Amino acid sequence: MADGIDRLMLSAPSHLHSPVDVPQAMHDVIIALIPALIAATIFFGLNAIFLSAVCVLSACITEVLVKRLLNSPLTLWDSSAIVTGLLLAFTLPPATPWWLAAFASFIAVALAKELFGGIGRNIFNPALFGRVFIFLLPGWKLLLNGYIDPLWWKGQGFFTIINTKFSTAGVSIMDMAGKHLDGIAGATPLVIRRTYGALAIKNIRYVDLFLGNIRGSLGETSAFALLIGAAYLLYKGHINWRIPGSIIGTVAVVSILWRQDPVFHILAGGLILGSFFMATDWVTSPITAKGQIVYGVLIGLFVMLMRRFGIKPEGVALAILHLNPVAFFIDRYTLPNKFGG
Amino acid sequence: MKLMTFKGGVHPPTFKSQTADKPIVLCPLPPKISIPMAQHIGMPARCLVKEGERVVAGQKIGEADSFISATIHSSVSGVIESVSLYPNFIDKMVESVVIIPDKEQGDVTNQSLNMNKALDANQIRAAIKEAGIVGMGGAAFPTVVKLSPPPDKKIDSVIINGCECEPFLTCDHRLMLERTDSLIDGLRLIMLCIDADKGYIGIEDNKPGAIKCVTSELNKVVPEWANKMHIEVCPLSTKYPQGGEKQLIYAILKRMVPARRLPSEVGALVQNVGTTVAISEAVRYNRPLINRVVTVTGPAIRDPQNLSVRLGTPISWLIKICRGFIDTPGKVIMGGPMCGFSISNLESPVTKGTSGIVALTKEMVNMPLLHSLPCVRCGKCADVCPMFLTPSLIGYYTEHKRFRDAEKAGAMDCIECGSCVYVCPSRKPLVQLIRDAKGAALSRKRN
Ligand code: SF4
Ligand code: SF4
Repeated sequence: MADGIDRLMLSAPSHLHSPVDVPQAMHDVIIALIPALIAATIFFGLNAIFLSAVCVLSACITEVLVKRLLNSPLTLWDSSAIVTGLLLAFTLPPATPWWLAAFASFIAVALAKELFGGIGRNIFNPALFGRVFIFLLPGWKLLLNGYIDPLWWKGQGFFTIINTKFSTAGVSIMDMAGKHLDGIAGATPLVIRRTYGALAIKNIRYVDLFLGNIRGSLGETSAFALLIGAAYLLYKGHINWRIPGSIIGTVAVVSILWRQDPVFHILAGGLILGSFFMATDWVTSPITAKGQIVYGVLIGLFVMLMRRFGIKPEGVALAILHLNPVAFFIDRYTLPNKFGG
Repeated sequence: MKLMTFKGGVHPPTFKSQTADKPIVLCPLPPKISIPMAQHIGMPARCLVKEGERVVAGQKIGEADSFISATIHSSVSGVIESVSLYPNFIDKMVESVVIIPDKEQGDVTNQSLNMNKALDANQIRAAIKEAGIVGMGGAAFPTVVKLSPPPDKKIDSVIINGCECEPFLTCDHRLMLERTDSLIDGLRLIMLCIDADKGYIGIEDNKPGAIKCVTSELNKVVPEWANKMHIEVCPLSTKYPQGGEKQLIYAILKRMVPARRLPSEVGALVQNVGTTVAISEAVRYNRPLINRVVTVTGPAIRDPQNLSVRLGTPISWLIKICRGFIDTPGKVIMGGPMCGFSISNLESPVTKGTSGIVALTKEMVNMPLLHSLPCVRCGKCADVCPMFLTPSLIGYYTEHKRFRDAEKAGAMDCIECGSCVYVCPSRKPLVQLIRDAKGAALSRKRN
């Protein structure tokens, strides 16, 4: 027995650990995003998978490069780069040029994550940071031409890979062979509503909004697919109802107060994706129960203000990014009362 | 029926099946016994014996000189080899009496005594003090002190902690099944002693056998008790740390013990199962506390068992009796795996507070993530903390040497249950950090 003695490990309790560690949780998030990836592929063709793969690859390569450069240990095994890449792809217009997607992913990982010290230390949600960054570049309005029609590939072929070209004349969506794909893009429902008023969206059916049969960013349109993934994350205990519930609740209340259609506001744009997958990001959201509700309500209000008064069409990404740095302070003011005191 | 419970907590696998159905067996006599004079919280006992002396089992060898202390008895008949400093399970040197036991051991129990005698509170207290009884769940606080609350605090409810919420351990479970009569007798003695009229036995619902057994024993009404005391069994949901003192009081009585106060503040008192059985034996049979039940278990042990062990028996002997290790153990834990101590000295003796020896395999303790990931702010630790603290925040303050902030965030209220460490996906050593914060706060107060 004596031989075992000096090899016994000593540490503070607990001596047991739940099987859920960070990589495990990241794998669950990836699993939860698969239904939405499938929906995106159905509506936007194989190009959806292509774009997602570009973002994931770029995120992983960037992480490896940065870690090498800083001479710090590789952390690819925690799988968080894959999640960042996928989430970023989901926020992009489906006809975003692949190199721009790769660049956004590079920014997400290099600037928003690694510059702050890597996983756990970032202040901004990396995916949203990358997405908003490219929308701040000069000429960002051109990107709005990338919202292609759902099921556009029926005319062009499911396997068509899009290669969007920018030129002085504007944007032209082409395939890899250089063939122009005209007349397949247009404005998203939110933009239509903002530009032409509520009457203009009268003919958009709820069922299309719910299933994702509308224009929008790659992975945000299908509330149905996203909710399946969200249910999985809720079941696994990685997220809880507090943040998504308070965002969606606030959006519903405000739209009713403004006499607008709450169902439209909840299903259109990136609200479902943002509420369940972005605002619930562990690192950048509050950890106290009360804090999570405050955070959700603030995001909901911000989204509605942006949708009504903002210059950019998409409120959700900006709302979450603006509240990310506040999360830490929300925690401080919402600490729970300790047991018996 | 809705089960009683507390807010927060975790659901680790219970791992109890290895020993839950194994009756308590007497652990054979080891070649050597070493009995520390400090097995409890408070002043060590004053040693009454010298090298070369002959002692008999049950003989008092350590006297409690101050109020918060406990008497110590020899657990064997034999000859004292030495009285010297000997490392205990956390490798602290304590004065210990080392005894070479005789081959033949007599029985110390005096069967004839006190069974039906009418007893008053002072007699009960005296018997408990004389027997050297301390809390046997692990804390080892002298029981007679607990049973002497300040006169302005009226205790109306006594709770027996039959939760055994720690994974792996089954010693209390076995006692509830095998010593049911002594358990209930002990509870009644405690109630008599502090003049409480309500008694509760809290048992987690993963032990239906124990719930049934205790309930049916309770139904055998003893006339002279029946109209004076109300005793009931409270099934609790299986959740860790259901057996935490404050959690249990909340679960059963819905009373919240104020922060850093004792249960007597809300008129409650909690006793461990083993302690309660020991109280009955001490009062009825004048039997001192010289042995206890220890669950020796874990995936690295070949033949896990519930052993009735003489205090002072080396842990290595228990492991040998359980036919040794199956493979190299990674960690040996004294107590349960959620809040017990990992130990390195397997020659250290079983003491009054040793509820279990759990040996985990190398794979179970192999944590490549340890210290390699920062907190990812998932909030799981705050969700499960039964004291409603925010462990990640206390850990953050401690890491940045902001001990005052750590204290303000509630470090001192942490009961070190380990729930936060259990759930943390980054495997942060939160309890270690909180202990550091507590240590810093204590040393600041001393200066
Ligand atoms: S902070 Fe303390 S009381 Fe809270 S879960 Fe962690 S160990 Fe338990
Ligand atoms: S459980 Fe661990 S990773 Fe999660 S907030 Fe607490 S300390 Fe941080």
